[in-house]
Amino acid sequence: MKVRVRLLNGLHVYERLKRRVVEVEADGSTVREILASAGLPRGQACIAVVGDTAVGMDYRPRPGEEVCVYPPNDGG
Amino acid sequence: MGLGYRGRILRVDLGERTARVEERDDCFYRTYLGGKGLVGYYLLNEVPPRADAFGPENALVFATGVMAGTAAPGFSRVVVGAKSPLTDGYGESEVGGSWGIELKRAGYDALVVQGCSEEPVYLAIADDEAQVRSAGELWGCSTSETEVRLAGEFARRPAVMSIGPAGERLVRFACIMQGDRNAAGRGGLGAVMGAKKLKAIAVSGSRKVETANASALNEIASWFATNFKDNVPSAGLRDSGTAGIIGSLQAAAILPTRNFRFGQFDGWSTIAQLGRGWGPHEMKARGCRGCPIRCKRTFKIGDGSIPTDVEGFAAGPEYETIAAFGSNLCIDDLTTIVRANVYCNQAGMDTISAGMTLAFILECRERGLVDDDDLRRLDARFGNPACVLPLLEMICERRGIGELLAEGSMRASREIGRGSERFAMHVKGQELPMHDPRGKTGVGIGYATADHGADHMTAGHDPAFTEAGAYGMLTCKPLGILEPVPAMALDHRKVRLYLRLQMWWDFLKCLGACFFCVVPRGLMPVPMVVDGVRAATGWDFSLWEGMNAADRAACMARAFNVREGHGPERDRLPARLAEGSGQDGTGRPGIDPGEMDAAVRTYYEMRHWDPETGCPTDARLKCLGIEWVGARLRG
Ligand code: SF4
Repeated sequence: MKVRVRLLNGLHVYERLKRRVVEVEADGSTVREILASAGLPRGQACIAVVGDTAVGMDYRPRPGEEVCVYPPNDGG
Repeated sequence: MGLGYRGRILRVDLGERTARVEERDDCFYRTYLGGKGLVGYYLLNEVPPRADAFGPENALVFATGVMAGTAAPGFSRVVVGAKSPLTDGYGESEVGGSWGIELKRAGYDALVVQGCSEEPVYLAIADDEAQVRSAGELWGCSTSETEVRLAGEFARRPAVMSIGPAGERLVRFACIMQGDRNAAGRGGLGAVMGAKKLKAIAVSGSRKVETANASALNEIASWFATNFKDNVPSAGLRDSGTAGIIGSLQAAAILPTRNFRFGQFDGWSTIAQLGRGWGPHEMKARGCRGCPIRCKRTFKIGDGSIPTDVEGFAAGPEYETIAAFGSNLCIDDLTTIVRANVYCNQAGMDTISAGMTLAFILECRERGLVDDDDLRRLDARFGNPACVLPLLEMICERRGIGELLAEGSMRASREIGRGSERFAMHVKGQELPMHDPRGKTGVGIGYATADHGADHMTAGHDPAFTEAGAYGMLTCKPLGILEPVPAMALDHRKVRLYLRLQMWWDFLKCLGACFFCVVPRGLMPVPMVVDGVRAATGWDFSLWEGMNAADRAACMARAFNVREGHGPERDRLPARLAEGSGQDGTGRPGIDPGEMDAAVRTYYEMRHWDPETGCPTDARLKCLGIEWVGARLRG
């Protein structure tokens, strides 16, 4: 079973990703590890959300879950 | 005439109905650059101490930078300044659109308006011709209608800055609109224009801006157009506009909710949709002239229920407006948020201060501090979308409870008393924007110390500087930002980070730059901005000079306030921010006021300002080559 990581607010343009959703096998990795293996360097994403709940970058997504990740927030 | 700049300031006296040109030399521009630098210079020199913000002695300054009107994308913003009727001190706001380009093409770097007219007038500028004309028939018109009517008066379509009925009625947070979606929103500058009986300034320019190296500026523009789509912050803005940050603010528990009582809002995902669309309405991205990012949203309105532009599109709200009328009022009804935005734009009211003033009165009512027929009749409470539009109309018309609210939350709270001051969320009289310092302390330092009152656009925000690999850290090394600082730190490291970023921001304000186009909020790197100044002006310009110009601008703004008798007692955050924002322990802890006071003192010291009074020292002013400011301070 896979987990889906949705890259929001511009993260999809990152050089080595170029896609809005990363699908990975749910092997117990953290969100941080999943993003690193997908090619997103450390520090580019800092907020992860499942449903309406902030889970943090050390969260280990469960099979079938979708995690949304955002870059560091800034002024509007 | 120089290169990049015109060397000409247009001076208008509305009392005398005269216009004249003041010529300035190269040294003047290299010292003050433009934008915020010119605003500070003219306000300090032209506005006498303790002048009435609504009186003839207040000056209204509109200033561009040396790259305005060139190919460089995002450098044609206008900094508008005056003594603010909201803060009774230095007032400043920036606005995009096309007005700055037209002013520059007409042959002027800045416009300084003084005096008051006895009857409504507008200013018509077409190249060398500047006339004060009667605006009797425009008085009372919305900002869009004013623009449409004025277009017919010119051979070439002009760019128009105008006020709506709110400015005419001196609503203290009235704004100046450029087009239907660009606002010089903050500080009540629209009310200053209203007090001068100046309805609009229409400008049309036909002359190319001469630069030292046009091909270098074209190269910058084409590099930017090629690369911005692959830049994370720019792509985020293109994708979702400024509303893209709502999800991350919610997750970080710093989405202002219920008058900043909480940091999370159940309807966050509903209001966040406004960045990407609004129900069945067709959405179009729009932007300032010459900028490919197009971060603004407009929605097609088919049924005539909302005023639109000639193509049938209404301006969509930006993040600040979405949060001010959405999460902070606990409203997730998108129609209400869009309508409130359009209403404020047409009436000429700052959406941040308007939304925050509503939040204030709703909380006062909830706590039984006001008992008012209008509020009862409208069932004015958090979460009730039906009360928003009627209250905004009452403010604009200064009718019923609107008469009190048109004064802004600080003055309204003084009138209401009974401890209501605790719920007026402002600094120096200007209401807080939609960023909660309880998750980013640097923003708190900015709110506390900004001379024009609480403002989120004084520096980059902390989260972009908390990890070595974060975009802010990767792009801001030329500013001396080398080590990450935790978001919640409030020691000298955070003050240093904030100050470096603020100086960069002030430099950009002197250039009339859009923060979304340059690092750390956008694509253009620090050296390219400096190269742009060199290409426009032909100067062997350096970042060091830019930072000095920024420092001068900050010192002049500070000196303006010191001369008004304002001191460190005004550099304080609202008491509520000392409390946690938690619901069930999920929120953010409060900011310790003692720690914030210490950070503010450190900020003064790092700026070489007197640590007790916050006044720029003589030595600093001399070092910056603006010793004349000391003479103004001594009266
Ligand atoms: S990023 Fe947005 S606000 Fe900035 S210049 Fe471009 S369109 Fe205007």
